[in-house]
Amino acid sequence: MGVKEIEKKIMDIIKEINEEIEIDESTLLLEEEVLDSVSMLYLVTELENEYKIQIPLDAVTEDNFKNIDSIVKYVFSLI
Amino acid sequence: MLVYREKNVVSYLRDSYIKYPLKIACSDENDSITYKELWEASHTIAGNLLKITNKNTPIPILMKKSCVAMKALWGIIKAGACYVIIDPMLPKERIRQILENLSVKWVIGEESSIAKVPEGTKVCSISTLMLRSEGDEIVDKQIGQICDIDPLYIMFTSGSTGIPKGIVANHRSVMDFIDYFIEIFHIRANDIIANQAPWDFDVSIKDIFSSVRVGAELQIIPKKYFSLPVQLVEFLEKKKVTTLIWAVSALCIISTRGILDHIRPSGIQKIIFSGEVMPIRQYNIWRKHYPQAMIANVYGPTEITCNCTYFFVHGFYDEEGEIPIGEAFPNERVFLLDEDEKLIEKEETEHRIGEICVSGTAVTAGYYNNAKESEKSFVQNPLNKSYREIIYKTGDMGYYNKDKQLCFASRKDYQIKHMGHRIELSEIEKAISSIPGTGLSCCIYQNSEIYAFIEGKIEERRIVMALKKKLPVYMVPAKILNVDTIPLNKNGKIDRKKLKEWLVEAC
Repeated sequence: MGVKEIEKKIMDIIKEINEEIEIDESTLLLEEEVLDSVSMLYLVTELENEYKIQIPLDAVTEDNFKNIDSIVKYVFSLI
Repeated sequence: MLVYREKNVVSYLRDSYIKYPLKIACSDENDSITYKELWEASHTIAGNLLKITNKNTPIPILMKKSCVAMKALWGIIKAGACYVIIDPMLPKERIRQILENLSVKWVIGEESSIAKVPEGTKVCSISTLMLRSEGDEIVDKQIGQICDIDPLYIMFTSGSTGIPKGIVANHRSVMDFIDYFIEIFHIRANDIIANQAPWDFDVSIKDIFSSVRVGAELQIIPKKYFSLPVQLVEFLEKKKVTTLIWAVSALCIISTRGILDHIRPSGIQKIIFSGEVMPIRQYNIWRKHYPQAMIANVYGPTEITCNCTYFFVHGFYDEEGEIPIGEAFPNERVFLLDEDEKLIEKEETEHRIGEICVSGTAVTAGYYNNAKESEKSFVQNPLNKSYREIIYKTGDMGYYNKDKQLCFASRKDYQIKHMGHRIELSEIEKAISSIPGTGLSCCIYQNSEIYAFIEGKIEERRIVMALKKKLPVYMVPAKILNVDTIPLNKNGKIDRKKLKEWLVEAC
């Protein structure tokens, strides 16, 4: 389970939520409103299901979900 | 000494500026401004605007909410014009529709805003407007000429014909409402109000004008915090927020996650909710954590200036029960008309359902450049044959419960509330029909999702992509279902009942 695979998976989930959006690993997901409250919930749930992890509420922070890079780092730390 | 009533809301800002010049008026993520700074900056902006605008003209602000946008808002008001907040995240096509309805050729914005406006529309940069110039006396004169019936803001809402409707509120209706609102809910200078509502929603009117009216502090919650529930609650604690005037859906973001069990913002004293029916279980959670807080339900469509009724909610409620929408605000009348346009009395024992109608100074001036739509719902009171009295027919159905309290029953038509937003399903249907290759369509709202049944064989993806270009994201259906033919009932109308059955079967 490599970093690149996690990155691709997250990108896929975000594309599912919002098809036309052009983003990369450093796009600021919250600042640029790529993710809103509903899509954030969806992303967290999908990640939990996909990687069999538990993402506690207080880990849903600006730091962990700033961009795809930071999400990958965080998820990797739980696997 | 001559005592006179204040004619316009500039008096609200002036009074707070004089009383509390160094108090924080407004804070956002990056900035904080005092009442003095707000007063002076808005004077400068108004002075510059007066070189390029006429009285009562709508001036759009194409900016995210911020201290700078607040300065622009008050600058527009002082220039004797009326402000229109346009969310820069709306699809370009929607922005174009709004600007077309307003017949305006320029907006206030930042340099980046030029990408969001149609060709031919100019962007007047806010930084240019903030450049100091000699205009104070002209601004003072202009303020003196603003009458209470002059328009203060225009708020756009979903239009069933496919075109958004701009509700025009004047100074008078806002002052009438806000003056009672602050008294009833004891909003005072030492309050810290956390603004959740987007500024193109009239819930924001309560945040913006209550705070200025009493000299309270407005904390603008960064939008991203609604995706980061723990950070949201930490923000409320850190900023010592006392007052939440929020949408039900926003309050539920916090209560459904059980966050209050871990972090309970200690300063909250007042919670005023609106927008949708509050799930009792969620209300009980808030009440459990805030046994002493003043919690109230307020109800009303944008057309009557924020709210027309209020109800103080005490103690815990049975999950099977409902929270009434309550009593009318002091200077307005709220009543129920049956299908024959006869009044339904409180004392009747039958719990008859009628349309909620509103009369009073707080009723707004109708829809901008849309006499046809205005005439449909702003009508002469059928109970009054003697003199002109315009009421607003809300399209909401209500009844009196056994305690003679007014309660919300349902919508009369196909308007829904989804994620806190008011949506005419037919607006979505009209947008679908403008996509080539689609036949008849019908939108059904079920299980908190919007489903669209469409005749025709286009790919779901293509429809969703096309709709995202036209409609705000919250109006895009969650699922598209292609059908050969949309079922019709014996009256030749779309058989929504059948479609709902198909939905239940499909899920």
